[in-house]
Amino acid sequence: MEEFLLKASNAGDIEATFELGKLYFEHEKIKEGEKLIEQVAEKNYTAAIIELAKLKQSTGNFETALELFKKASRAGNISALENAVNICEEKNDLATLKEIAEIIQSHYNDIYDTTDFLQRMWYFGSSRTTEYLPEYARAIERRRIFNRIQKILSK
Amino acid sequence: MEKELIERAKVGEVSAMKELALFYEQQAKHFREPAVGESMSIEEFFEHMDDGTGDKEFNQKAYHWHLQAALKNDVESMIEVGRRLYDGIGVEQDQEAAFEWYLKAAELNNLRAIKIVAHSYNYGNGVESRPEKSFEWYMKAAQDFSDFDAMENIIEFYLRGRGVEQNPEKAQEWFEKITDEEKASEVAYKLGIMYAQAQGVKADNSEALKWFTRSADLKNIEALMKIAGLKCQAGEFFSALKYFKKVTNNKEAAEMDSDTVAEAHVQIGNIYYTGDGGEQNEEAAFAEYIKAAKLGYVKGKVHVAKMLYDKKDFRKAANLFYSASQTPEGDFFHRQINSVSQEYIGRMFERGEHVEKNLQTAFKWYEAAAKDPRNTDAIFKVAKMHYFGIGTPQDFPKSFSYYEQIKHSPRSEYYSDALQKLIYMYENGVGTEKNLDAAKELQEKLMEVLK
Repeated sequence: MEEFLLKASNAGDIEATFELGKLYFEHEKIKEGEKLIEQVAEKNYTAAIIELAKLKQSTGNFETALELFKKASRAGNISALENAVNICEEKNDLATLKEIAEIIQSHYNDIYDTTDFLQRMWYFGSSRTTEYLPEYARAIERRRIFNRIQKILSK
Repeated sequence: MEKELIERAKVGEVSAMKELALFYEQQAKHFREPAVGESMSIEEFFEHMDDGTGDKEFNQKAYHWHLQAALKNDVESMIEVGRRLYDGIGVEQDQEAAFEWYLKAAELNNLRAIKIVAHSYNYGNGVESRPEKSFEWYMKAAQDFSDFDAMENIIEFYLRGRGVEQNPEKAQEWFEKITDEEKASEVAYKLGIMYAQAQGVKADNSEALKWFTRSADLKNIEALMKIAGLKCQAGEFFSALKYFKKVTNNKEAAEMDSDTVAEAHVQIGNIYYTGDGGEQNEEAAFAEYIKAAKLGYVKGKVHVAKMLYDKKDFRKAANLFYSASQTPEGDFFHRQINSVSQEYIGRMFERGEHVEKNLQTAFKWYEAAAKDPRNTDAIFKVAKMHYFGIGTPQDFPKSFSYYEQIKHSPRSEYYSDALQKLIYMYENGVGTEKNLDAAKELQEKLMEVLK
């Protein structure tokens, strides 16, 4: 596997580069692993951004971790959102919390949107909704996190 | 009997003509029903395969006698002639001629014919669409016969300004004349939909709400759900809860339509779970999801399973997901439920949660989940596993085809990652023909996303 990953990585496959980075971590080649993950994160590969964020968080580099979680949040990643809110709450960083709230609002969150909701209800001839599409399930989580932010901000 | 009827019909006896027509109709329907023990050749079978119209010759005879009776001014026969001309049963199809017969019958004050004529003018069936004429005929049916279906149409016409000047007050007046509670509830519900969906009127949530409320007052639980949905959309969650709870507290509804009641429990659960309108309350949310699950609602089960999974109660979550994944895939809704459940089970095998880690089994469950084209989580995982040969032999073309699916889902969390992968695969001819133009196109899409 390592050989394949190396070959693909050298050919420009950033997913392979990311997997290689994770493999190096497993083999305790921490510096090499982190370097590769950083490279991939710079190319905006969401999974790498989150992995790097967790690494930075674990080493106490909360500022960088927060920036990275915010970046991954833009792709709609829920764990990134949650982690970002956790850091902000701990550090009492209200300004960043507001930014994160804006990021959430830029996504599709209208699980109760009349046209979409009712259209789906009408389409199915009953009150069933399609909120189990993974995107809609994430919308529910985003609403929960948004409400959590509002609660923190109102304290 | 046939001979006798023919004799009587030939001398102009209308009742005999009608009986004959009916006789031939029945013959046409049963003509090719083989007797017990009888067999027929494949050719015969296909020649006389039931297309809903029965045997041609008998149908022609039936039409002939219906026509004879119609020519003697028998109204029922006129309608029957119209029907046969409209559908081409026993006669060459002629929708304009059909309309003429319906009109004749309508002019003789037959309610069924009146409604058909009104409908024909409304939709242009066998006649040029003329909403004002349609309105006239519906009005006749409503005024002379107190027909509720006609009243429903009149109300819609007044609200839409179709065939008549728009007049919501008159629409309201006619609504009050629908004395049958069930019909009134149904009409109010449809009008609510009309405003919510902007069907021939401007979208108007407050009008929709008004009509749904009327329908709900008449105990229509679907209307209650619609009102609750509108309230949620307006951010009025306390009010929404009130309406959802009217549904869940309706014992009669729980017996007649348990799915709708269960869905109401799920929506209440969602409001508690997200904390919309108040404090987040996971316990209360969980309790509502459980109630939905107990009503046999698969979606309720999946909600419960997800919460158990998030709390790392993998054993219970696994049991529920497995049970939910076995739902017969009757429709879009159930396919989706199966997909989500299958994906979670795949996850448990991939991570060794409650079960022994097994990547081959994980792959099989992800692959099953990925059959739902909306489940981009599963699709991305399958794409990756094919690419890296995890739990399955390495297969670049298959991997490529799965990544390709995600490029049609810009809302997916994996959208930009999938695009990056596809760019690489197109640029390097991995799993697909090298195609720099396609790669460039995807690169532009990616730049848009990353802006």
